[in-house]
This record gives sequence, structure tokens and C-alpha cells, in this order.
Amino acid sequence: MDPIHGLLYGLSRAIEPQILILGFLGCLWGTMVGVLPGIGPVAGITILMPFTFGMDLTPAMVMMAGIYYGAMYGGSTTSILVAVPGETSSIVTILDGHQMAKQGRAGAALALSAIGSFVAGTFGILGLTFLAPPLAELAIGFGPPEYFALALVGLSMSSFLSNASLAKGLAMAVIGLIIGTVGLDIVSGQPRFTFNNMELAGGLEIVSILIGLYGISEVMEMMASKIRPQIQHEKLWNLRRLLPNKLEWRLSIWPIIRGSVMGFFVGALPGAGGTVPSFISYAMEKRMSKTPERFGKGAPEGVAGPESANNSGAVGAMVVLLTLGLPYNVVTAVMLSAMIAHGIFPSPLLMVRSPDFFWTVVASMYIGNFMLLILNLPLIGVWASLLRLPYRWMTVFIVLFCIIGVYSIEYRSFDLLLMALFGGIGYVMKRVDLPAAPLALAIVLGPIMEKSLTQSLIMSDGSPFIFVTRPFAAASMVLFFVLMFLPLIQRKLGRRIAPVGEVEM
Amino acid sequence: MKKNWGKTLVGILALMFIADFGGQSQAASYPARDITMIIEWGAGGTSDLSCRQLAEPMGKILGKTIIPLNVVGGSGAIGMNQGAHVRPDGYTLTFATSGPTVIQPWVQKVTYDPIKDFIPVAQVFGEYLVVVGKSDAPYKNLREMADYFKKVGKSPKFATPGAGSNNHLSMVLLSKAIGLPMTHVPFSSSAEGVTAVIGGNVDIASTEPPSAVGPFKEGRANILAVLSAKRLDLIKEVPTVKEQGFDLVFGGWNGILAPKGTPKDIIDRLADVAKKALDNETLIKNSATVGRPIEFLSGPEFGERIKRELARNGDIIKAEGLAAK
Repeated sequence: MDPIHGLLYGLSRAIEPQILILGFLGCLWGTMVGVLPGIGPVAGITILMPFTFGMDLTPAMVMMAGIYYGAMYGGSTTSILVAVPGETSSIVTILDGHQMAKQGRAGAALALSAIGSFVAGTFGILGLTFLAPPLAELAIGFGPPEYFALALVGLSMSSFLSNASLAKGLAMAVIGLIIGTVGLDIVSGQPRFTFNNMELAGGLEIVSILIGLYGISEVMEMMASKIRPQIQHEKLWNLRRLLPNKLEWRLSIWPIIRGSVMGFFVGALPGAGGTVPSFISYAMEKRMSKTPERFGKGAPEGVAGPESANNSGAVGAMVVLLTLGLPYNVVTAVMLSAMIAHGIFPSPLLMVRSPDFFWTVVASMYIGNFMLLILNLPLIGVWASLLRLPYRWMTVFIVLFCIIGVYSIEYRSFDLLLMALFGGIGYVMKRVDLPAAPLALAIVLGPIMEKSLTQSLIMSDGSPFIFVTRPFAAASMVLFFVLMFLPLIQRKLGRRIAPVGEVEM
Repeated sequence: MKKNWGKTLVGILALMFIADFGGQSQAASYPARDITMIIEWGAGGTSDLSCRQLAEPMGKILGKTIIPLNVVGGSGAIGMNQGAHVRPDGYTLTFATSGPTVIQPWVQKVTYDPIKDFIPVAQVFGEYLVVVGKSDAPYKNLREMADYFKKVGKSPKFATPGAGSNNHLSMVLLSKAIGLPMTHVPFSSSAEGVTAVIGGNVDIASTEPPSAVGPFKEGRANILAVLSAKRLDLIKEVPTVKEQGFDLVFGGWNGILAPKGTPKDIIDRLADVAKKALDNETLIKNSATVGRPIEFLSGPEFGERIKRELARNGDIIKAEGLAAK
């Protein structure tokens, strides 16, 4: 069935009451789950898994997909309002989104995020519709050397993530790499930094660390600061102040477009999902901006770009799932198991073998995307008014949600201890002006990088040339060196983008 | 005011006391509430699916819900550890797989004893692995593969979901049975292994059937062999290793374990329920779909099997030099 007919057919099925309602519920639940820090789409989908066994597959997939990208919408809300990430993919949004909120532009930030997400989601779904099979073919050749190269490039972006000095950023990145090694080594199974403790042998749960580093430390800062920033209260019904003004729109259009496109392709690559694209988008926007010093102080591009990227990234990740049946993160793995349990094996022929299922799911994603936009825009006023809560109430609620969220990952109190520990560390880091973003990025990318490096070298029987002989890996390595040495070259040539000041995010 | 507070406090303490006493008659009224079943693997994986497939009919028979709980990490060791140290009241069970139970204790330092810390309730499923190769490779079965690699003078690279996993062990044994040295490339899941094969990054992969069957039926990958004694319903056209002339049958298992100290009548009851649940039609159909045939062993037989395999694996692992240092 060609795309146009397929889409029309899918739309006709997607507006059936059962599908529509389940899609809506999925989006709603996904948004809620995304807003709550610590609880992500994984928990959201797992909670509903048992119910999906009783349903037909199509409505079940529609709902699960809704949860997944709904969470990408919701994650930015707490990032912007209280600097606590709802989702790992929303961490970057904190950098400028929260600054915008402090300047009284919370509504604008939220709106940019919602609209960017919508545009990106639509683009992603269009990509899925027309590009799925060839993209999947490309993605499947992706192996350890490519993972390694991509992770390396990702890490090199860490220097763009803060306005602090390069030395501090690099130091934080290195510490992040070390933290990422805690656990069992993948090749030999030998424990590292585990001190004979079984909990540590499982590795340090990333989400716990990130929620602690950003959320708990932010709460501690709120409690400690005597100077309360003047958060200008928006008049709830004054739409013009709630939405982005002309300047903000103008600045955001290209980031949204760039984020959408880049996010989709990067998200389709194995292992990426929604998080890596958001980091890349932020770095990219800052790099391309003529006034990069505005980043970290409330630049709308720093919100619009990443938030778009993480949404189209989520859709991209579904490309590989639906066309090849290969899940690259836990969310798509759960979806896959549901499909298998119903007897549908995803493959490039899925579009041909089960067009009913495929097109209905795709069409429902369009509708879901639209529903999310309508759902989120009016809520902006509600969210923004939450900022009026006195600090002593806000902090309590934030901590409560963080605890619930982190505990719900693995039901281990160890994760809570980890969260508290990194909360303290994060607070100290804020005081001493050490940037947290490079640390976060390194903790996420470090394990991937190390694993891929080891695997690549086993594959090549020890030869490092494997990174140069494979096209994508080679191209990424070149990009890496360019990114690392470009500032040096530019300085030598007399033109340099200098990091300005010591602004904290 | 003070007097009132004192009375209230005493009242509360008394209530707590009574409530706790209520717990003494647990065995008789078991199960009085929902039961948790720890899964040592992540959501969406085959073990996760199998456990949930079992949990549903078991829960129906018991009249309560069995809630699966994923406790992930350390190739299943973290989940086993948790299952070993919970209260032995029959409300937290472990859906154990063979890897963490009889392999991991040799490969890493674990803080549980698979024999002393647990009481075996029943074995429920058998787990058999397959060897997956690329569909356009110059070999279609094990013998051709062995010949090919001997001819080019290289050893094939095989992917597994991790060092010390069932898969890893099975490939070590297979390598011996065929007489072909192989190099291990560890990944983090079976799905990654299949991708690596299709993408040409490794030569073969050891995976569970469900991860391979999709690409297999599409012709993107070729399943060279299955390591069971009999062919699996899910992939009827795939010959076993034995059929191809090599002497190896290697199977894992899934079973229910309870922490040591759980009352005997609860254990017996659970074993009985598990046996009945395995007659459930939906379960029979679903377990075939994921390539895990139903294989029931009673508690004592299950326990014997665990002891045997633990000892056998120790020898193999030490010989391979994979033992924990």
C-alpha cells in the first residue's frame, strides 16, 4: 500500500472511538508521567503492560506510542519551571528554559517547547511514513565502531554545554566517565569500583544520579537562598504575555526546524532515543548562533531546538522498532514484547504484511501529536501559575515527586541514597561554579563509549583502524577532531568564539 | 491534653500489636494479599514475558494478583540477591532463570547462595538457545560454518548478551563440540546480538528464539541450529545440534524459587498452583510463541537439578578461565 493510501486508510481507522480514546489516554498518561520527575515513559508503559495483554494489538500499540511521545512533551514542564528534569531528554531544557522562567517568560518557554514538539513530532511521523524502510536499512549496519564514534562526538559537545571555563567542563566530563565505570565490566564480567557491594555491582542508576544532581540540588538551593528571585507572575488570562513574542518566535524557527530534522535521524540510530538528540541540538544551536553568550541566560533557541529534537528522536526510535523489530531502548523493547505476544513480528515487510496495524499506528501518531498540542497549550497557564507557590510548599512537592519517581525505577532504596548523595554533590557544585551538564552527559555516554570501544577492538582483532575504514565511523571521527580543534585553529587565525563569563545553569 | 495523648499512643501501639499477631495465621489464609514475583531481567525481555505469562493463570487460581517486579542488573544477580533476602512469608517469590542461579555464582562474587538461600518451588519452562548467522553467509548450517572458517583460517566472532551468560556458556560448549575456536564479543542484550549479525558486525550470535525469529522468517537472518534435544515448535525447520552430528544438548530453565524459611505448606501450595497453571491453554500457546516449552519439575527434582548443574558449571567455567578472581 503506498504511503498516501495507507495514511488515509490509517486515519479512517484511527478516528474510531476505541482507538481515539486509547490514544488520548496514552498521551494524557504520558504527559503526566513525563512531568513527574524520575518517572519516565518506561515506568508508564510497564505499569500498563498487563492491561495491554487483554487488548487487541493495534489499540495497545497506539496507547503505548502515545505514552512514549507524550512523555517527551511533559518532560520539559518541570525543567522550565523548577529546573528539575522530568525526563533525561529534558535536562538540556533546564539550561535556558529555567532562566526564561526566572525572567517571567515561563509561558513563552512552555509554549515554544509544546509547539516545537508538535512540529518535530509531525516531521518525525512524516519521516516514519515515507522514509522508514531505507532508513532502517542504513541503521542496521550500525555497529560498535559507529556507536563509539557517535558517543565520542557527543562527548565533545560537552564543552558547549556550559559557559564555565573549558577546564572545569572537561574535569566534570572526566569525572562523569569515571562514575560511569562503576559496575561490572562488560567483557570480563569483573567488578569495578564495587567494593564488594552487590548494589554497586549493578552500576549506578543514571536517572537517580541526574534527578539528584539537578532536582535535589535545585531544591537545596531554593531552601538556602535568602534572595528569592523575582519571578514575575503572568496574568493567567493575558494570552499575549503567555505566548512567545515576535523576537522569540523569530529566534526559534530555525532551531525548531533543525532540531526536528536532526532529532529524527539521530533518534533512528541505535541507542539514541530522545536524549542524545536534545544534547546535540543544544550544542548545535549554540555553535551556530551569532551571539552564543546568550545561551545559559534564557535564549529561546536553547529551549526550542532541544525540545523539538527529543520529540522527533522518539519517533525516530520507533522507526527501527517497526521496520526491523529491533528495540534500542527499554520503551521500544516493551512495545516489541507486546507485539510478539500478539503474534506480530516487526520487519520491513510489516508495512506489507500487516498494513492495517502499521498505518493505524502511524495515523494515530499524527492524531496523538495534535491532541498533545491541544492538551498542553491551555495547560501552560496552569503550569505557569504553579510558580506562585511559596517556596516552602514547592520544595516539598518537588522532593516528594523525585522520591516517588526514582524509587519507582527499581524499587531500591539504594537509588534514593544515590539521589540524595548527588543532590548534595550538585549543590556543592553549584556553589563552586562547576558545571553539571558535562558531568551528566559523560555519565550517560561514558558506558556506551567504553563498551563500544571494547567491542570494536574485539571485532577488529585489536586493530584501531576499524574506526577509519568504516564510512560512518570515519566521518564521525573527522567531525570529532574538527570540533575539538576548531577553536584552536580559529584562535590561531585570529577569530575565536570565546566563552563568556562564569554563568551557571 | 497529655493524658489524651498517652491513651492515644497506647491505643495505636495496641492496634499495631494486634495487627502483627494477625500475621501469625498467615499460612492458613495464604494468600491473603497480592504476591510479588521478582524477575531478574528487564521489562520486555523474554524472561519478563514468560514470567508474566505464568503469573496470570497462577494468580487466577490463587484468587489474588501476582505482581511481576523487574529487578535488573548484574546479569540477573541483583534480582537473585533481592529474592534471597526477603521475608520468607510466601509473598515475595523469585522467577529464577538458570543463568543467575547456576552460572553467575561462579563468574562473579555474589552475595547469595543459590542452594542455601532458596527453596525450590517448581521448574516451569525450558529455555533453549539458537545460533544465528547472516542469511547471505557462505554457510547454512554448523558443519558448513566449521568448514568455512577452517578454510579461511579465522575464528568466527559470536555475540552474546553478556559475559558469563547462559548464551556465553553455550557457545563455549558448542565451540568444543564442533572443534572450532570462536571469539566472544559481548553485548548487552540478545536484540543487540541479532542486529550485530544482520549488520555484518559479528559472524554469529547466540540468542533466545524470540529475538531471532522475526528476522529469520523475513529471510534476513539464518538460524543455524537450536541447542535443544528436540526441534522447537516455534522454528520447526531448524535442526538441532545433535541432528547435525555434534554432541551437545544445552538447555536453561525458568523456575520459581522462594526464600529459605518459607513454610512448607506454602511451598507445596505454590507448586501445586504452578502445575495447574501450566495446563492453561493460553499459557501453552504463548509459551510456544516465545520458544520456551513447558517443562515441569517438582520442587525436590528442581532442587536436584540446580545442585547438579551448579557443580557441572563450576568445572566448565574454571576450565575456561572465566571464574571470578
